Amino acid sequence: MTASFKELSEILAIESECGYERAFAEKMAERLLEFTEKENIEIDRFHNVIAYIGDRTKPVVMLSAHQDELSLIVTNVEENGFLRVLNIGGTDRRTLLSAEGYLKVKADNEEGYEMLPVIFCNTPPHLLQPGTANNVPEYKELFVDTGLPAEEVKKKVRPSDRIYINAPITELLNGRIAAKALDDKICVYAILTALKKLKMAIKHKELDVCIAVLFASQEEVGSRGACVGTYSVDPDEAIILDVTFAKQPGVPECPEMGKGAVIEYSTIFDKNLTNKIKKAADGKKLQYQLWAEGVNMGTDADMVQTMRCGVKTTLVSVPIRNMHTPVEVADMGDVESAADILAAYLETYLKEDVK
Amino acid sequence: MDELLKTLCEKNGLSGDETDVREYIKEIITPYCKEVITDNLGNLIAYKEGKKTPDVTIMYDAHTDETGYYVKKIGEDGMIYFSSIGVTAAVTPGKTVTIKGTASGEDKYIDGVIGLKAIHLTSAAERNSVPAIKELCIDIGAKSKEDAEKYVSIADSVYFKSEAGKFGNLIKAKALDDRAGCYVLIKMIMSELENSAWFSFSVQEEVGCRGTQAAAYRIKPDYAIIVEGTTAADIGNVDDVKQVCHVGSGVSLSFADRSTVYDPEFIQQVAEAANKDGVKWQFKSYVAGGNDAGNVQRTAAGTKVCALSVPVRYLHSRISVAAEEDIASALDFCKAIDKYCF
Repeated sequence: MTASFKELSEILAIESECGYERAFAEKMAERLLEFTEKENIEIDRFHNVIAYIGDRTKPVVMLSAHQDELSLIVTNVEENGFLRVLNIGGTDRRTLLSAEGYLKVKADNEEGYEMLPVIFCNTPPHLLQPGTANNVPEYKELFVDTGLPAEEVKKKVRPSDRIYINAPITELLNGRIAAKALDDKICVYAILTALKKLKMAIKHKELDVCIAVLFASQEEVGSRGACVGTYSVDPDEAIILDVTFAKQPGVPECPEMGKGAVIEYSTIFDKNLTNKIKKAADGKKLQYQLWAEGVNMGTDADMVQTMRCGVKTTLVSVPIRNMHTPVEVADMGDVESAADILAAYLETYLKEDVK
Repeated sequence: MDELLKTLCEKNGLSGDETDVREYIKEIITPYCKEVITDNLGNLIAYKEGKKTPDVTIMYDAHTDETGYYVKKIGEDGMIYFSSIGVTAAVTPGKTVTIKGTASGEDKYIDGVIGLKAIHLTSAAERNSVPAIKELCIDIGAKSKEDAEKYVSIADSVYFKSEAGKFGNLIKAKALDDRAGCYVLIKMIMSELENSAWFSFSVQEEVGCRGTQAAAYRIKPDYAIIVEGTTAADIGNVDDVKQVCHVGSGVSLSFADRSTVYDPEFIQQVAEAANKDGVKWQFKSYVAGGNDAGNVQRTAAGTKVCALSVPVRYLHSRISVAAEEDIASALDFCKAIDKYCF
């Protein structure tokens, strides 16, 4: 197991379903202490992490990735003790049957939560109508099993309790990784890695710019954290990091995994900013892929661009397979590549005398 | 969760690839048996002496194989295509699996995941059904066919990756169908029996109850007790009449299923035996499924059979659920049969 896999695994292991990002945010705030003083780091009302690195009177370049992940929410506790659920964010129902998860319930008279293992029920074959074996039930027909007697379930579980999928973090061949919520924690990790690459420049105050880091909450339900977070930061430029679709069977026309991070063009992005990032990457002979999408791409960048009086915004993305399933797959080389590209761009802001 | 049961479930034994399960069981039971045979198909057949040797021949049967997948083809892009051995497509995508790779000449497990095109890129119809098994593939991280072929060969077995353990008041594990049955047979062999009997740990139940045909032919039993795992549909909003049996209500006794109409006299006899010892049991209340009993019943000149099934939720998927007390009652039921029926 490589050091980077281990470090990323630690980040992936902290749950951060929409609205419950606090624990994750606190851990990330701790990690940011490596780059700036405590008074420059805050966790806001949305559990967004906002950190300023460098001279705050300088122009602000914001690096942002979202920290939330998909989850399900209990809507009903049935008479027989089984639970009904709905999705918070775009969970792929096709992956739920026979999946396992954890139900987070408030423990009696205790701080924190109790984690109850759950299984998503699947219908036995004798109950299936011919020709329906491949159908995926709607949420209203989907039940969750806790293995507990009905009375105990009713006592412990409340509508609004959250369930997240219990998926292993699997090391695949060739530095690839499979896990849930690589979207977008690999980008949180990429930003931290980029900052590490700039550590000496940060330490010696050699950057002629203030780096703002925003780890945003609630992206999966519509970029809500990035909205308020960007308002607070009020950046001059923003580089959003998110995942994008990688080529895989059934998805032919996409960037490929293992060929570097993707520098994204879009009509809504600042073309000059994207060009500058590309030029910085070229200057360091970094591997990357280019991609141009017509309009908005469903990331925080769409929201960030129009905050306050407008922000020059662009997107760098990491291609992953199986997005929004418990087995998202990424190539660690592409994550590293995203960090290299960010670092290369920020190094263009080195003060003249240290360049 | 009982350690022996846990280990049994954790062993991998896809139909046709039961060696690891068989060898594990063989090691445990050999000291207790007068004779232990591994036959041509891979069935493990053991003879255990009891306090007496009855006039009739008795056979206990459980199957060693489990459901999973089987490598069919390796794509040019390094993706691994597979067929299903008893698993529906509905429970397949988005799961982590482990392939028992034989490419290096010895067994080396390699993990992979069964992916799906991102939901953002699907049509409404695609979102509401899973692709057919033949369209799904396993990603082990390989970059090409040559890369994958260093680890995986066609015809390798693919296993679910899940953790056995406690689940609420119940237990969860892959392959409870039918390692629960294997567990009961092992416990029988380890205990003192009234009657000498044959025990068969049979292969290939999940692909047509094949192993047991040869095992039963060898043994030619007068009576056979099949210990199985069966569907418990006591879940969600399933109608009472279709629930088959209930987890926690004791082992289930079949009167008929898709493979067998059980001999009413023998069923009554075993039920009375169980009742004498206060064993908790239930009838399997729906004519569904089938098991080794069917083939044993029609072996040679015919056998009187009964099937005792542990109620199992979500069988044939990556994780199944049962109650340990139901497995204990299956064992008690077998002991009652041994005590009173011969």
